[in-house]
Amino acid sequence: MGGNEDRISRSLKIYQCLLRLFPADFRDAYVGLMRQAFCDQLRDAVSTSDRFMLWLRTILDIFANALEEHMQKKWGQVRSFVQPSPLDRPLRWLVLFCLLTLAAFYLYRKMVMTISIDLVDLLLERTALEMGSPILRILRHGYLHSVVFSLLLAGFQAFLFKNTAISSGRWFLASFLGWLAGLIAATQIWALVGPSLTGILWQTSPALLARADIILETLVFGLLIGVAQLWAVWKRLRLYGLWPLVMVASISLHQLALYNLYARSEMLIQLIFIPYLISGLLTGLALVLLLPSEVTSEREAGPAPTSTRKIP
Amino acid sequence: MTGGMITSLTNAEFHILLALSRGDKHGYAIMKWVEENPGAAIRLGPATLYRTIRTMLGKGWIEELDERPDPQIDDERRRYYRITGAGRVGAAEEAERLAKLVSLARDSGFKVLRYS
Repeated sequence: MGGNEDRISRSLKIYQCLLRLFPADFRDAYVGLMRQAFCDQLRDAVSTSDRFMLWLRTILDIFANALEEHMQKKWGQVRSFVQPSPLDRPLRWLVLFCLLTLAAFYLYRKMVMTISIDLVDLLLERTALEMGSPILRILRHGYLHSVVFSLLLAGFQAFLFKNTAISSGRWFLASFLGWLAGLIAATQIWALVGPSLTGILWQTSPALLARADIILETLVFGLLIGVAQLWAVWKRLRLYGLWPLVMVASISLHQLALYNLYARSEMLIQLIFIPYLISGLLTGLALVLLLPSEVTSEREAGPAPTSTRKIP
Repeated sequence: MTGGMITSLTNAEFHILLALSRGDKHGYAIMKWVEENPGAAIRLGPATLYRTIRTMLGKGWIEELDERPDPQIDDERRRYYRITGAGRVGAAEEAERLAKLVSLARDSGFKVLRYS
């Protein structure tokens, strides 16, 4: 029982820190009440999975509302994007969606290939690696990255949409795990292929990030994508237009981290950001094109009429 | 503040009004009611809840109570809320609007499940 109280106490401390994201006036008025409500939620969350899901929901609740609160403070009344309602029906044209996503990543990989060749040359020049080493083979034939990444991504998205996620928490979790698994597979696979070689590599090449950095980067990327997708669910379909933008931003941030990796190798490849950005745009475009028809018609028809009536 | 204009209710606002129409509640009780009600199918986080409550207080759809229903068994830091006349009218009209939408959907050939 004492352990449980300790856990709640620790969680409340973290929650209290997160509440600092809100403007001071809102905090002054509501921080105690929000803390109390979260404490009650913690007490009700019995199992580990309950607590995990509670934290996921809570973090998103705080980030979305804090952002909106700051926007309101700065620009006055803004259209709310905090819609707690879950998505309650599947996207249509699921197969086409998956194919377009795959195509986008195929193109991304294709463009990156030329840069990968430069990277291979650099590694050959600066490290003790030989041409036939597994790491260089994977770098040269980088389609493995693309296939693993895209299949996992598309597979999980297909699963999610097909099953019409009623629970946004489950939707988020599955999406997050899908992207995370895909990225870990993609970024770590070369490290796992030849453990002995990687040891030499890290000793001899300052250009490569340490393992912990790669995991962190991957985690951040997966989390960003998860947040982006949950955001889409929250907003239902009305503000779908922002989803691709968030996707692009997420992918771009991830690729900036990769750019950092290349930059450490003293390689002048600033333009590497462009193909990555294009891949993000293609993914976003695929999502926009495959919006359910209801959303398109709603946009064409303009904003939904609101009934205004006087309350006696 | 009662007597204000009601334009349209957000999902969170409508659910909070429904919860309070069953009796005065504090914040967490509202969250629990919404979460456990099978017809609601949404969850309200503390931040969403209290930002929405602040808006609704400002519009006069709900009011904060000075007294607590049972001070003996409850934490004194909790605040209780009650639906106002304007809130009731707004909720009723929103329910009517949704009922008309469901009826329209049914007439358009969609199969709409009935919840008991």
